[in-house]
Order: sequence, then structure tokens, then C-alpha cells
Amino acid sequence: MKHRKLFALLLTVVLSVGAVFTGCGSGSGQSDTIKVGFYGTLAGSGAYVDTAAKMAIEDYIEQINANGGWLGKQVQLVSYDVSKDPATESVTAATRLIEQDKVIGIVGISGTASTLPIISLCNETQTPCIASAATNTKVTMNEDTGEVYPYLFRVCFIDPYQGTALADFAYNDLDIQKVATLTRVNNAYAMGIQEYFKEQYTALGGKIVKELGYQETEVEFRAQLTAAADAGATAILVAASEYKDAGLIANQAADLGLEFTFLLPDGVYASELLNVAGDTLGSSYISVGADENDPAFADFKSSFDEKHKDSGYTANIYTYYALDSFMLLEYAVKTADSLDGPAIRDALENAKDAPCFTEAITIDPETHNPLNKSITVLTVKDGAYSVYKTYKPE
Amino acid sequence: MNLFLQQLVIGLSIGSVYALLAVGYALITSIFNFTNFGYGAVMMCGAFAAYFAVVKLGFPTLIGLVFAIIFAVFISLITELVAYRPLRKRKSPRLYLMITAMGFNIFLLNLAVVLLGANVRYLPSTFSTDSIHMGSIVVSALDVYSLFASLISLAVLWVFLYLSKQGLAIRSAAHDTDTAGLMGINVNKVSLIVFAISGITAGIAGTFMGMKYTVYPNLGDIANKAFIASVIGGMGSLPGAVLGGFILGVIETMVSGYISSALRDLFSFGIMILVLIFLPNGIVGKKVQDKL
Amino acid sequence: MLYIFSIIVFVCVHGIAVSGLSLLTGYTGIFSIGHAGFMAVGGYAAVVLYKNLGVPFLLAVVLGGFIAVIVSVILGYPALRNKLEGDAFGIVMLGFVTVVRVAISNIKPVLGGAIGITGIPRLSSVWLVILITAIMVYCMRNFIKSDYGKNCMAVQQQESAAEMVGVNPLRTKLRALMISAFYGGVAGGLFVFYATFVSPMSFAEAKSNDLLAAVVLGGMCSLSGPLMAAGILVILPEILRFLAVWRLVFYGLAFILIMLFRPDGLFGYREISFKWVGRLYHKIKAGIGERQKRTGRG
Repeated sequence: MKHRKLFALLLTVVLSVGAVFTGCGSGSGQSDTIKVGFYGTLAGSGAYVDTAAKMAIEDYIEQINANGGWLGKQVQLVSYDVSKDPATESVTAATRLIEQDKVIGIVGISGTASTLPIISLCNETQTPCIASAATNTKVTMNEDTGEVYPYLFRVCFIDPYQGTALADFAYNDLDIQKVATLTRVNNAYAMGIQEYFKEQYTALGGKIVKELGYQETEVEFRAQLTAAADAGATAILVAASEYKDAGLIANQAADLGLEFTFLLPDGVYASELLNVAGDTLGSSYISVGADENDPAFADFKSSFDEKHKDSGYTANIYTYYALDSFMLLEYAVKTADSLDGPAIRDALENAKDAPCFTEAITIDPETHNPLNKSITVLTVKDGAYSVYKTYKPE
Repeated sequence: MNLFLQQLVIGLSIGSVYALLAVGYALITSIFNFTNFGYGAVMMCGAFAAYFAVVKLGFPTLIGLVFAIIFAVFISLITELVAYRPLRKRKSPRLYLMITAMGFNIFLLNLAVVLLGANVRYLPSTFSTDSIHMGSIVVSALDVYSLFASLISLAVLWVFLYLSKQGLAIRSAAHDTDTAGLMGINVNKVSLIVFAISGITAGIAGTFMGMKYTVYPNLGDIANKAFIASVIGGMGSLPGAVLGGFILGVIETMVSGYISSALRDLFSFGIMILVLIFLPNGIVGKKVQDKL
Repeated sequence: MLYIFSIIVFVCVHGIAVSGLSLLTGYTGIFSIGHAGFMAVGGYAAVVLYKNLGVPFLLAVVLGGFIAVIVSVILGYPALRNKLEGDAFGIVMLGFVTVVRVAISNIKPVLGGAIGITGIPRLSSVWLVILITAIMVYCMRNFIKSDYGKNCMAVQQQESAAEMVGVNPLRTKLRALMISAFYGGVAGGLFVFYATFVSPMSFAEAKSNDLLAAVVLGGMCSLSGPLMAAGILVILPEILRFLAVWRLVFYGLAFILIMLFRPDGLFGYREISFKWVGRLYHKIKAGIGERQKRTGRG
């Protein structure tokens, strides 16, 4: 028995050492390349978000390298998939990026759930991490102590910001009195949006007539929609994180002959939403950080879609956010003129009007969130998104 | 009252799809005594075949359905021939079969993601999808079609099982696979037929699921619900699977509508646990003899 | 070293949970497809005890284990009393893990709902985890070698015969379930205090599947086999990282291939045969040689 266990232990050690060395063959020992880390859902059903983001960053790096790189060094993106078990794999992927690949920072993490596990790791190892679409307040702030995490940043707006804005918009602009909410209940993002929407909307004097929810793999929403209609709701806040959910909800409401105004957060914003639910999204309003089809992005989008035609992935809003996070890191590296973690961190914290993809970003040193992010409200018209209104907070 | 009726109609329509899928589970459980966790992935393959035929090749929905059935049967037979049969030959414990099935599910799902992308695809239907209004109650046309398709295929299956010679062989194999083999029934042939039938149900369900809920690699997750349905009805029992499907559909809808939609899965799985503990053979399955 | 440490910790945590499941599924013959549910209960309980009630770390982890035991009795006693077996009990466990997850997702105040609990201090240091794993595996080995462990095997092989010689099957099964729940709970607690973050998704079905697969791949009625398999299952996805998007495809394929081509020497399926019992004892008592041969192939 003893020998067996010894053997088991030995095998485990050998395997773990093997694991450490397998991925390191390429590029280790070349100190003239700067490595930037990225991880996300690159396989499985949620892969459409992060795969396009990864491609876009790699394309952008090609351009950078053609122009001489950063600080005279070539740049390389190291990316890992964490789709099997984000809670565990985020930790191992990030540790590997930081330790084995020696990345100067981690960018483009699109989910709250896959950012939260690595907060203490980034702080301990002094590795800046810029989330692209992790919108929960807990990503950059310790809620118990009110302190900001020194190495965590983000380029997107936060859940309270968007939830509150949607509530203001629904109550003031659309004059909707009764809203039902339909929330993906095991999703941190969706729960956050719903929570802050409810808070602001009831504070304004509106009424939430029904709070409904659904589980992650759900495809059938008619029971909830019927209940919402019965409760007298004229609008539904669809706190979803994937466009599929919002599309199916709109389709099934149309099937039931129910007419709701749908209020959608940016999590469901994708051109594919229109393929799933084109005409059924009749009177929907969606709040986003940037209009995907803004002429300013048209060149990028068409060249990206053309280049990656065969992959089946198209540029979407997350692609832009991911580029934002990468370009913010680029700005910080260049401002700090250093590859040192703390130096980059300081540059990130004091970033002012950093030229990013969607707009110039200024980081609030108190919260590590971008300041004055504009919110654009889109509506669906004739099977396409059109800008309804843009808020530019001062 | 209207609300109740509307929810009931929705529940029954959801239940009809669960029932069809649950039959696919029950057939295999009844004969081989293991839970085919790869079934959802087979259904997903069927849905993709339908999508390919309808959207890429421009065929009408019915041809798409045929494509889906053929492809799902093909995949289903491959899983049987490549994975399950060798294991059965070795008389491996059925847990091994379940794990292999799980492996197949992971394999097919991720293969679809890599080859086809994780994007959601809209599968249009070439026949009318306008909703039907009966007073204040609305029934979606697709639901009516899928209900009919479910009922017709269940009826055909019943006729096949009870009035044909092959059906008799299947039923005797379900009763006791080893003895059936001794009595001169070609168990391998029976297993092919059974997996083909389960492929057919997966193909039909896949097409309708695709039209209702779009086509994407994780579409097979819905089959988990059908699995619960087959457990509630009685594992390995066909009438039980049908009944369980409808019961689960209605319960889910009622819980969503009247109690709490956020807690719905708690109820469906909770009921499954209670049924298993207090009615270990499900609602219908009384004895082993009554399986088919 | 952090990367290696993090892998070692995950291997150890899985090892604890797997050795518990090995007793339940391997030795006692009760399938469990939802063992991660106990990890979730133990993990959440430990965090709440530590954060909200100020219980010291190690005590919180141990108490988390005991809370998992209580849950296992509530669930297991009626199920086992009704002689639920095979797939049926496994499916009850599948339902259990889902119920736990949905319930936690909906409890906002203390458990943080879907968002989970952040800001948990990293108290499970590598050496501590290795030490605890070693102690727990050693205890499990002794248990399995004891008369209690032999009762478990007797119940697995021939319940009625075991009952006739005076073994109480219900008590034996329940004991195995409780011990394995304790192991799962402690593993969950250690995991949470290493990951510094816990959410309902930390213990998804995929984790249960991995645990069960480790027991089966490692070999029923063996403790070191599943432990090794637990290590492999944590490490395998890491090794397969170079495959990038194809990783999970190969992960699934590996399941099928291992099942197909793994020689069935570990657990030949000769139901109710005393030859098989003899082989089993032979296997447990003897074999470094056999072990090496086996792992070489697996």
C-alpha cells in the first residue's frame, strides 16, 4: 500500500511538472517579446463572445508589431480557455499566465464570474488586470471595506450605472408605469442589473408588478410571459446575459400575442439578436456602451468580418470592449514607459483620456471604473438597430 | 381561469416535446438498463442537419425533418456500434456505459462548437407559424405541429412495438435481454433497431426544438428535462415516459406561473427526488414486466 | 511555484472528495452523480461560519464537513431505507446537486445569491492542504481495511448474504454515505478558502462528473487508483491546453477511449461470483506489480 501511494504521488508530481512544461515550449526565454494574457470561454456555448474578442486583439497586435511593437519589443497574446469550469480554471489559467508566461497584464475578461476568482491573485503578484465586460461592482471594490483593489480595472460601465440609467429611461422617457422583470437568476450580471433597476425604478415611483426569473439553460419563457401580462405589466426588463435568451423571449411573446416593450441591457446586444428575433422585437430599447454600427467602427467591423468570415464569428460589442481593455493597457505601458507591474498600475490608475477603441477613457482612481462612460439607447427598426438617444454624463 | 387555461396549454405543449424525448430515453433504459446521457447531443446533431438542409440547401421544412432524422439515426447508430456495444460485450458495469455516454455528450457538443461555432442559428419553418387564437387562449402553431408529430410518432412506435415481429423481439429483450438472446433473438439487431428508433425521436424532436428555440450546440441540454420526465414516469417505461413528460411540462409551467419562476428547477428536481424515494418505480412502472 | 501550487491544491481537494466518493461508490456500490453538492454545502457552510460567525478557519472547515453529513442523512436515510439503488440513487444525487445550486442562487442575504461570496481570505496554504489530504486519506485507508470497510464490500457484493451474517445493510450504507459526505464537505471548505471566491457555479454538475469519473477510471474497490485518477482529471485539461479550442473535444474523447480500451482487469463484471470476491481480495492485498501495470495502461 505504501509503495502504491508513493507511486501515485510520484505520478502526480510527474504529471503536474509535465503540465507546467507542455505549454511553455513556444516563446519561453525570449525576453524581447512582451506577453499579454487573455482567458475566457473559447469553447462551449458561450464561445461567441470571447473568441471574437481574442481574434480582434490578435489582429490589433499584428498591426502593433508591424509598427515596431511596444517600447521596441514585439507583443504577443497568450490566451487560455476556461470554459470547462470557470470558477476553478480561471485561477489556474491566470496563475499560469502570470507565472509561466510572465505576462505584463491580463486583459479582456468578459465575465464577472471569471474575474472574481483572480482578484487576490492579481493583487498579490502585482499584475494589472483590465476586465472588458465584468460589470459587477465587486470586481474592483472590496464591498466589506470599501477599498479599491489596487490591480483591478475595467473599461465598461458597472451594473448600478446601467440599471439605474435603464430605470430612468423607462420611467422618464418612455413613461412606463408598470414593469415586470425577467432575470437569469444564476447570473451575477443579470441579477445586478435587475437589482439596481428595481431600486431606481421604485424610487422614481414606478411599480414592479412581477419579478420573474429563469435558469441558465432555459429556452421556454411563455409561462413567465403569461404571468407578466396577467400582472398588468406593459414592459419587461429582460435581465439576460446572452442574446439567445432575449431573442427567444421576444419570439415567444409574439407567439402568445402579447405586446410588451422590452428593456434590454448591453449583455444581449449582438447583431445575431436580430437574426433570432427580427420583427418580434418591435418596441425594444437596449442600452449599450457603444453603437456597434456607429460609422466610426464601420471600417474595423467590415475588415474584421471579412478576415474571419470562415470562422463564423463577427465583431460584436464585446470585441470593441476587449479592444478597449487592450488599448488601455497599451496606453499605460507607453505612459509608464515600463513593463513593471506597479508602474503600469499607476499609469492605469491615472489614465486620462486614454485613446481607446470606442472612446477616450479616463479611469476614476477611487473606483478603477471608467469615468463618464456614455450610454447609448438603441431601438430596433426594420430589422436593424438605430440610435434612439445618447447620454453623455458630465 | 383564463390564465390557468393558458398556462395549462403552454404546459401541455412543452410536455409533448418532453414526452417524445423521454420515450427515446425510456427505450434504451428499458433494454440496456443504462441512462443514455449522449442522447441530447444526438438531438442537437439532428437539429443542425435540419438547419443545414433548410437554410443552406433551401429545402422545405419537411425535407429538413427527413435530413434531421437520417443524421440523428446515423449518429445514434455510431454511438451504439463504436462505444456501447463493445462495452456490453465485455459485460462492463452499466456505470461505464453511463460514463461513456457522458463522454460522447461532451465530445459531440464541443465538436459542434469547434466545427460550427457557438452562435445561435435561426431555423425558419416553411409552413405557417401564425398563432391560433381560441377565445382568449393563444396556441402557437409550432406547438400544435410538434404535438401532432409527437403523438403520431408515439402511435407509430406503439404499433411497431406491439404489432410487428421486431417489436415483439424488442419487448422480449426489454423483459430479459439475456434470456431473449438464448431464445434465438438477435440482440445485436434489436439494439440497432432500438438505437435507430431513439435516433428518429431525437431527429424529430431536434427539428422542432430548432424551430422553436433556434439551433445551437447546447440545444441538447433540454434533453435533461426529458430525462427527469422519464424518471418521474418510471424509468424504462414508455407510457410512463409519455405521462411523465406531460406532467413535468405542466408542473414546470404552473410553478413558473404561480409560485416562483426562479425556483422552478428546484421543484422539478425536488419532485424527481421525492418520486424516486417514495415511488422508486415512477408513477407508471410497477413491475419489470410492465416496462413496455 | 504558484501555478504548480494551485494545481497541487486542486488535486488534493479533488483527492479528498474522490476518496470519500470511492468509499461510497467503489466499496459500498452506491452511485452518486451529484457529489459536488456536498462540496457546495461544506464550502458555503465553512465560509458562512468563518465570515459571519467568527469561527476559526480549520474548525469552520471541519464543521462544514459535519453540516454536509447532516444534509446527507436527511437525503440519504429515506432513500436508502427505501432500498434505492443503482441509477436511481445516482439520479437522486443529481437532483440534489441541482436543488442545492438553485437554492443557493436564490438566497441573497448571507450567501450572495448568484454572485457568490468574494473576499474570502486564502487560508488553505499548500502545505496545510497536503497535510490534511494525507491525514484524511490515511484515515480512509484504515477505515476501508477495518471491519467496517469489509462490511461495505460485503453489502456491495451480496446484500442479502451480508445481512444474513449479521451486517446491517442500511446502517452500513448510511455510514458510508455520511463519511463520504464529510469528505466532500471538507474538500469544499478547503477549495473555497483557496479559491477565495465561491459561487453556485463553483460546484456545477461538471465537477460531480469529474469526481465520479475519477472513481471509475481509477478503479472500483481501490483507493490509490481513484486518487491518481483525480490528479489526472485535474491535470489533464491543463496538459491539453495546447490543443486550445479542441481541448474539450479531446477531453470527451478521452472518456470514451479510456472506457473502451481500459482493460477490465480492475473490476471484471462477474456478478455474484466468489471467484470475483477472491480476485478482489487478492487485488487489495497484493499488488504493486498489478497496480503499475494497470496505471501504465490507463
